[in-house]
Amino acid sequence: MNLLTTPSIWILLPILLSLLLSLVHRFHKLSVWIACLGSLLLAVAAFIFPQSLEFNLFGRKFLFDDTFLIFNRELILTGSQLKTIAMLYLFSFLWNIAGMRFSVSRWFPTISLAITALWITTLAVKPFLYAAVIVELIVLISTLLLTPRGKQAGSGVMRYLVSQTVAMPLILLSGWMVTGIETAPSASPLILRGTVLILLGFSLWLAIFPLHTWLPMLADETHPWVFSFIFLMQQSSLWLLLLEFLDQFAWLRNLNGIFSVMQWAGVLTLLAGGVLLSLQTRINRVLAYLILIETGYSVLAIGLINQGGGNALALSFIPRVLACWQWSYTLSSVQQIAPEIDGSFSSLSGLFSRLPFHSTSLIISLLSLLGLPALGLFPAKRMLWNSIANLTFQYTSLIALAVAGMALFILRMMHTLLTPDPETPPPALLIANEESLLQILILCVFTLLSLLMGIFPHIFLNPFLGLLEPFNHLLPLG
Amino acid sequence: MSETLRTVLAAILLLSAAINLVRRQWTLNIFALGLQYICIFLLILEVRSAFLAGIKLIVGLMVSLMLYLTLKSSGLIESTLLRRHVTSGEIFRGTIALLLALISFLAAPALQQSVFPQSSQLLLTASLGLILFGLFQMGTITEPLYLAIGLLTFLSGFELLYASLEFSRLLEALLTAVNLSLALVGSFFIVKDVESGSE
Repeated sequence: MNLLTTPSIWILLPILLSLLLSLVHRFHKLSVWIACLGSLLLAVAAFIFPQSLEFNLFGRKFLFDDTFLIFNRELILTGSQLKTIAMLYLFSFLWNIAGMRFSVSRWFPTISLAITALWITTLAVKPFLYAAVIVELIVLISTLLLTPRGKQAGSGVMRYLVSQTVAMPLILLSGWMVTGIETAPSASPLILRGTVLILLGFSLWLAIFPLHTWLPMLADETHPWVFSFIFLMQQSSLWLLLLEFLDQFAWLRNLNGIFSVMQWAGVLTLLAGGVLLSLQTRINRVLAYLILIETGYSVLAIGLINQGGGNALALSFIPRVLACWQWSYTLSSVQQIAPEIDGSFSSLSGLFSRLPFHSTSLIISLLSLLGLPALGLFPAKRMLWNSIANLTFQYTSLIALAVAGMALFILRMMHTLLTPDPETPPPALLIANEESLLQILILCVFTLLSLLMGIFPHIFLNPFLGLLEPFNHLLPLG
Repeated sequence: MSETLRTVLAAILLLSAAINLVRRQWTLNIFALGLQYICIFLLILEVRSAFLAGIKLIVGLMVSLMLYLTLKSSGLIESTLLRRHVTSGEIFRGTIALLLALISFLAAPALQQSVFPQSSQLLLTASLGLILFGLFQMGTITEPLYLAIGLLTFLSGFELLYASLEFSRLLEALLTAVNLSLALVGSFFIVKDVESGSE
């Protein structure tokens, strides 16, 4: 067995590390530090590793193979996928390093590392349809984190488990159904059946409207820190998997109307997310609707892949994750500092006078996700809005409604944060200096990062266009 | 194995799935789940070697045992001999079970003709029945044990169908891992339920 392979480094090694972490999970700080260090090293290694997989060290030449054989099947991680790997381990690092502060499960470092390695496995396994079973394994492992400590499993986590389990057979059957029919005419019933199965499977996985009902329920039951990690990792990896499907199956991407269906699915999901967010009264559920909105944008971007949607998708990966990180970090921190906040909107009344930096951070992360100019997601969203406007006016009003819904929610949120509750004591009587210098610094750094990405996208975001390199059938170079 | 015997096996398989759907008696449910896996093992011999089919049997029995031991250690097992009145819910679910069995029996020939020509009609009836029973159970129940049984039944139906279509060692290994993880998650949910109830 050749162990000098890329899958050995970025899949087997972290899985072994997470097994080791499971032995020391009782020593929480130790396991967090091991997970952080492991994730950071793997991210940096993937970032600096040459795409040719060949380098010289101490006068010796090392040539890594991109293929690892297991049960006569292959795990392949090519040089062009290294940026994606670096990004996923960077997420794992960011969530572990800050997660130390919050009262999440002791298993978080162990499971987060295993989940990251498994998501990379989904992008590496050949035939790639088997990724469906690995996704199911990830879902099953994730449920251990998604069930809060000392509470019974809620209906949100159960619905999540059911919807993800139902998706797996659909994807596997679709692959079997269309094996070897590349030459069949696009109207072949087999192709249509295969397409329906794939689209339905991905709709269940990604919680596309109207199959999204479990998402807010789960967000309400789960710690925001855990929820944001699981779902940002899941959405980011599944979009890449969907691109892989479109790239590998010529019959799928050449089917008439497939991209229009995706555009409509994206716009309707976006609309549902925006409208439901504007009516939201539970603060924990907000992240679910933000993820729903971002899912809508991403599906829309894939639907517009031939009109520059691919670039918009690649440019949005990092700013989206950072904005959601900022939102969930700030919310978790607020709940840690002020446990009396019960999740209702009214309990946040006048929070600005008590926690000004946290309140500002909540608003800035929302504005970034809205696509406000000069903030991280603006370049990607501007590209999408322009593409849509150039293509058709059908979607414009619906997208405008969704954006208006989100803007309305932000205004409501600002009003709540700034207006003190007349029944609570004045701010002067509340404990002073509740925000530590470190917390303020972290919030300021992430705000600054968002600003830098929004103002200088060509410096901070353009390197991430490389995420699309593996999909050379779908997006031919040049 | 004769066709008659295989038909009887398919009938027992659907009956055990129907018991899990209709009856709410945990020992009986775990026994029915075990029986379900034995029938799947015997039916799958049509398309798989005894060794590979045996893996499914062992995994299935391990899953049933895992759930049984969790229930027993939580003190939730009541005697199977305990007599209980038939409830209106059980009558409703029984009617649905009959309807689902009928649907799978009637849909199997058309499905074989149009989508799965290489699968036998009996295998299709059994797998479709399990998938439908599992889906119904998952869609209507939020009790952890029944959710786990519903998911396992749904997956068993799919595995039975997929076994007649394609074989891959990696896929078999992954599906085995999924089944065992599902039983672990089911046990985890049951324990959580008991712990939060006792607080």
